Amino acid sequence: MRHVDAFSAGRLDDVAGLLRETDGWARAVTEAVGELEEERLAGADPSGTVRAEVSGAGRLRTLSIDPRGLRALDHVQLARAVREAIVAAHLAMDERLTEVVQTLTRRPSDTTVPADPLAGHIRDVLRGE
Amino acid sequence: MPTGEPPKLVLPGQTAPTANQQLHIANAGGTVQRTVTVAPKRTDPGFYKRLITQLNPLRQSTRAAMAISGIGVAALALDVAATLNLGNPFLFYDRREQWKEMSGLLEGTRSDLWRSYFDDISPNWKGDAVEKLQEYVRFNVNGLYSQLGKVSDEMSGAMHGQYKEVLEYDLSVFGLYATSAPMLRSVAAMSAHPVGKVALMTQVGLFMSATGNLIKQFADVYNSYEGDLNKLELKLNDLRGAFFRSGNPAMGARDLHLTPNIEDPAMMDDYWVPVSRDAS
Repeated sequence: MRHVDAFSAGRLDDVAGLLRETDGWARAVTEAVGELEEERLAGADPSGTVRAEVSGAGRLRTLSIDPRGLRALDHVQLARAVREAIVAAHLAMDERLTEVVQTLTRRPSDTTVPADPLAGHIRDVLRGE
Repeated sequence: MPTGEPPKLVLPGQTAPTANQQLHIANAGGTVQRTVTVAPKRTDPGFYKRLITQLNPLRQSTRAAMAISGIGVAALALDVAATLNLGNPFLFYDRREQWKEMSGLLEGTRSDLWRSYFDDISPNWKGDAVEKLQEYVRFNVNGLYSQLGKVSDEMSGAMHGQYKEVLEYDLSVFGLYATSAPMLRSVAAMSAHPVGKVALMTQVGLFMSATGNLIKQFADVYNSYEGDLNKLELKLNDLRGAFFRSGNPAMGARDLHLTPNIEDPAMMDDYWVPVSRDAS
């Protein structure tokens, strides 16, 4: 994304090119997020008694409890196992999300806020130059 | 009125006012009749600076949210494009007023000259000077000044259009950031959880399409004004033809001056014949 990179560095470049690239990018992101939402991501508690499945958007889709494991659990332990299974499913979703983002950006995930390339420009405007 | 002395003419161009000065309007006798104060340079009311001052913190939190979303690379570029395209509407307002003043001044000066010829000179004098002056007023001053006035009017109109568009764009960008920044900030705060992260990605996507639309609209407006300015440039090229030989400044200016003979005391009797002398 040549124009995106130019603008990100604070350089004025071809606006039409930038809009074309960002449009394409927005479409790719929407598509990837849409596909992710259709996926089912599963997780289970450590004993494997409770299994949870969440959608790619994080919505709980199925929760199954293996009756054989129930004998070893009282009501408090069962509640904890359910919670653990859901957390595990969300963690699987997080991993999948990171993967999707990495595929999109073709670079390792990076969430550091880049320095504002317009800091100098804004300082000049405020100083009145 | 005729005293035997040729009237002193104050020609437009000789008293070009510079900013913040007084302009003396003299009658044919050279006595100052009224004084016009040329408005001092307008000062920027500081809208643009205030806009940037208030926008910048909103930009910073929006940029942070974009980066956290992991897919912010294009949104960050749009942020730069949207901010760089913000303009100071005062610049266009100032030019609009300048062209308007110029148009008024041109018309005023043209009228003054026209009236002083037909009120003071043509009823009272005969001789070559009257003809030379009539030629000068009719062909050199009247036609050229009207053309210059027309271009100034259109320039003022174009500048007003630009002023309005720049102001609207500035306010739209500010409005977009003012509404999106708090939402993006709170969604970004929840993004430690994967569900929050998906929500943030969606919000950044929405912000991106809104900013992209704004930039696109502004680019369209910009292009249409380019067209208007191009038409004005063509008109200015036409005017060049009136002022320069073959319309080419390199070939020198056309001679639009009055003949100096008109003020030559030796030729006064040919040039300035009072109407009353003939009658007596």
